[in-house]
Amino acid sequence: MYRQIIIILSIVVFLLFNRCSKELGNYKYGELNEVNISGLLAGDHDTDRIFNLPFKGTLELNPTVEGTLSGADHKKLTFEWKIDDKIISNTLDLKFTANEKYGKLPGEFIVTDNETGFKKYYHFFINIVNPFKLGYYVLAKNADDEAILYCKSTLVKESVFEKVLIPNMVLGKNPLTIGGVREYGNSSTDYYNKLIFGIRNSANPVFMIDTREFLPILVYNNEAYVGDKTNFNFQPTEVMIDSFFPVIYVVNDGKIHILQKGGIDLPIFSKDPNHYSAGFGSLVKTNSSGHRFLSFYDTKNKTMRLLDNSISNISYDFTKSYDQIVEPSLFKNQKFITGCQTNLDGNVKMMYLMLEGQTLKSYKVNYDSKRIPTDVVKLAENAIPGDGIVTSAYYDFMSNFWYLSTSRAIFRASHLGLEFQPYVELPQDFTGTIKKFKIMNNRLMIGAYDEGFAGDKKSSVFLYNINTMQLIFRDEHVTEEIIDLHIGN
Amino acid sequence: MKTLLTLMLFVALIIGCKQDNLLGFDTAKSYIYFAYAEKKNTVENYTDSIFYSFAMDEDLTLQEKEIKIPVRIAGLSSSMDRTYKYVIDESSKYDPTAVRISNPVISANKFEDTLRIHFKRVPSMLETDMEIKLNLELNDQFHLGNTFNNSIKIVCNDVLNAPSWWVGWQKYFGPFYKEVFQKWMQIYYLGVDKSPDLYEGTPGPVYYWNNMPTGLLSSFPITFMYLKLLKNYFEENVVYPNGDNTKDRILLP
Repeated sequence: MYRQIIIILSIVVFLLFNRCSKELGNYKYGELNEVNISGLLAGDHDTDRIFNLPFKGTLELNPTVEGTLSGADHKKLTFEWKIDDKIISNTLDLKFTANEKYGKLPGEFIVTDNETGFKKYYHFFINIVNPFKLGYYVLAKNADDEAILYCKSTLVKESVFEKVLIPNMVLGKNPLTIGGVREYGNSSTDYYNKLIFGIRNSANPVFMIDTREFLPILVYNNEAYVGDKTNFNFQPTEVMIDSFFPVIYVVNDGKIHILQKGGIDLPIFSKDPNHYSAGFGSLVKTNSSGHRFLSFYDTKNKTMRLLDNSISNISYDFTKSYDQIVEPSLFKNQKFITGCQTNLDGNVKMMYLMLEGQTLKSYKVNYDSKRIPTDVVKLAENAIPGDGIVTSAYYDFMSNFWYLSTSRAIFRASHLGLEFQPYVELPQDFTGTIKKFKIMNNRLMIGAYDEGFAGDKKSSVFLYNINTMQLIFRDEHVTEEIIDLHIGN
Repeated sequence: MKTLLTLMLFVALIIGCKQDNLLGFDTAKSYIYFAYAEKKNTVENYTDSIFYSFAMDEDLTLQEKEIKIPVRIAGLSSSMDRTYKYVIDESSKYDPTAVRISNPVISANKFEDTLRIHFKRVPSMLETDMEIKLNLELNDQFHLGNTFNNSIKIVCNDVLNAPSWWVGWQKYFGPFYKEVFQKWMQIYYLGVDKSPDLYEGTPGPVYYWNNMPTGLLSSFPITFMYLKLLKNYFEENVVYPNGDNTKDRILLP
């Protein structure tokens, strides 16, 4: 026992003495080499660092690696690129070809300082997608009126317009519309398109596809109608896509239907005492209040119609008409060109552009603070600019400008008047005429048609950057007759 | 100390190896129980009560209804039909002329058979429930099986009460009328709305008259499309509550 006590005391005494040992301060505080990686996508989070890569495409990354001490000298550094947990390369630069699978693959670039053993990581994703996930889309028809879809990828360098088939889907005949909405994934840089098609004679006259896999995700046919299917023949004459919501407005047999989530609603305002009939190109473009207000040109009663849902208070249940506001006498002998809902002075407005002879006339419907229409004001009138042939027109509710194309040029005018100013003109050496144009995502896309061209592909596409008005591409004779186009870059 | 520990370990081993008097399954006996599947998420597999209302059937013209109750056995099947015994509990309230019950038989070589309770739609059902409680009893063929399922209560009526979801949808359906509810059952039945579950993503169809959407109702446009059909029906057809034309006709808001 005595012996054990002696041993324990010896250990305690040793520890006490050791604790009091003098601090000599002889540590080495030399600067260490810190490696920095740059020249790749920046961002604090992996979801900011997504490289979109079309299937079978090649991604080349050339990072800059510098050490705080070693500078650009890489002798003591080793590199490793890992994608989907597989080591792809041990070089500074990466060249990776997507040939195995679709999807978002995690990636890692690891730089190891062999002198210190420190590792520097750069995490990212490679999103391997259908090359047509993002791009420019053209809906055309051939001489037999068969619909054809063309796409030009913005994910592939030097891409061209290619005919694209949609799996398990025959498009049909007499195409009407292509439009779409941009859908976001995990970040502002991770997005794709939902494209909506309107084709008059088709097994599925309206359908939506997801451009990531180019597969239909919603189809609208007779079976989608909620009413009596036996008396319903779905052959739309107009298909309009809401700018804000996944809602589609369709004119079928003169009546307007709302399409949502795979269902075709009963015709709106079915108890109209004036038995409205909407013709081709009669719908007024909606904006963020589309669920409350609707306007269209009634070809039967030859006037604009102004509806809202104030009676039912159910979205898109347009049952109240303000016929006393939009009297037929206001629009006598006029043809509806285009129109749009907008917001001006903090309140909703309807804007109409009409044509009487060769004179354009613009109107504005005012609403009071309770959002009830009060009156229609004629804002301006002017002659058609250019060669006097209107080929396409629309109202941009963001800038509140009218845009109008004639055979060879696009003009624009403020909503306050109709003093059209030249905006873009087709190149002098191009012989076709403008068929359709759209402005979206800082791009102006023009579809032009050249009747005199000998081949089948009589249509050409021009793309401009609207900030600089520089021509980005000019693809001549790339599709059959263009019906509509969509910018989904 | 070591000796004591060894002794305790030995005693524990001896106790642990003691033979227990295990209960054996007597294959010579068969046990019987009601096996009507429980639809609610409970610990029991089989329910002890069934409710049926003629007023809530999608076929509103139905005049007779057969409730089929599976009856199962535990034990061996027999090469001959075997009869089991039940008694109608004293608490039962029913019109014997409106109810017929099939023979209580487990057919040869079967482990499950069906007891059929046949109800005739009679006017008294508009006012009161018919309740029949069946209690299985031991006989020379069967012992009683699963204790929880020795009895089953069947309630049948022709009464249509407001479903719990009506309050949340009253703004669109208006006050409760059984005529409105019955028409809604005909219009918005399971399968017409193919929408997936908005919150859990379960593929559709999931929404119908007995599973109405909840939460942000504007997120369910298909339901509103069918609601418009319902509204149109009452605008195009003059319907009075209980057929009483001294009252205001039924119209939706």
